[in-house]
Amino acid sequence: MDRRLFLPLPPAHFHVLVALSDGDMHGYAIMQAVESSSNDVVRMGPATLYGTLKRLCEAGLIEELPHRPEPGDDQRRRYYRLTGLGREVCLAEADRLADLVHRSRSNLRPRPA
Amino acid sequence: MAASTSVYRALVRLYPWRFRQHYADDLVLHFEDLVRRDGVRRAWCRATVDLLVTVPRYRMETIMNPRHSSAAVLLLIAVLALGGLFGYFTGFAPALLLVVVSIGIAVAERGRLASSLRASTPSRRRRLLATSGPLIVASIATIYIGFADLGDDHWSAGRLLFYNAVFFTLLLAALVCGVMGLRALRSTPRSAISPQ
Repeated sequence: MDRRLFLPLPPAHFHVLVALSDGDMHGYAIMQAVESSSNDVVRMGPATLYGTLKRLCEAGLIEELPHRPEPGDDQRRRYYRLTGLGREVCLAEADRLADLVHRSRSNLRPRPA
Repeated sequence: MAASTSVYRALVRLYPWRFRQHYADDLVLHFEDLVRRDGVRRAWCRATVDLLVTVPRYRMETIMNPRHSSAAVLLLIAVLALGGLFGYFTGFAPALLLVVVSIGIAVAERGRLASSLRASTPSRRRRLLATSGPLIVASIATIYIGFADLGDDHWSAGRLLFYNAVFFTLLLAALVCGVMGLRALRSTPRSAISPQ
């Protein structure tokens, strides 16, 4: 599937994908990772987070793990993993944003008279 | 914390069934984690905002889901509109709100309603064209009755709005049915629509 079809990603989706690019996580750990990576600017409520996870699962960008990565963890927790497509889309969105930042910096930088 | 969790678990029932079935336990577990980390008050602040934003949104998404039958939307519009009309004629003025709501739903759902009207079979095309006729007659009758009624001294802005709402709804429905039927008729070989 063409990854450009997913771009631009909504910010919440991108934050979740970035969090999962660090490893498999359950919902609460994803929320903590998103808060940490955004310096507490992005704060998702429980249903917002699980709604986002549901959409990403349906789009095939992430998937639920059939097993628990940590044996001692709460058995009720559901873990999620980035898929190959999710990794590509996340990378494409990061490139798009990097290009946007580069353009904005070059446009806004004072030009020599 | 047990009381908070019970209340939150009860509120989770406000979400659509499919979402709840899959994520209810995760939501409650997540809420318990929030209470443990931030305290009851902060956890409730976040959960309340989250509920206020997501319950209507997820409900609306469920209603707008294309998997749901367009017949259900038509039925909802018809029930609300008929309830409004009945209420209005029996002297309950706020019933006008039901008519307005039904028009609002029809406007919001116009994409699905239009797609449901895109006829693929000759019999359905004939039905569309046949439906547009009575709708035009009904809209003309509405405007006639409206003028007759407004000729009296005791008309009100609400009554004027009511007749306009009914007239334009019927006229819009007639136009949609007529245009869809005619377009389908023109794009179909004559042999395919001839009576069997």
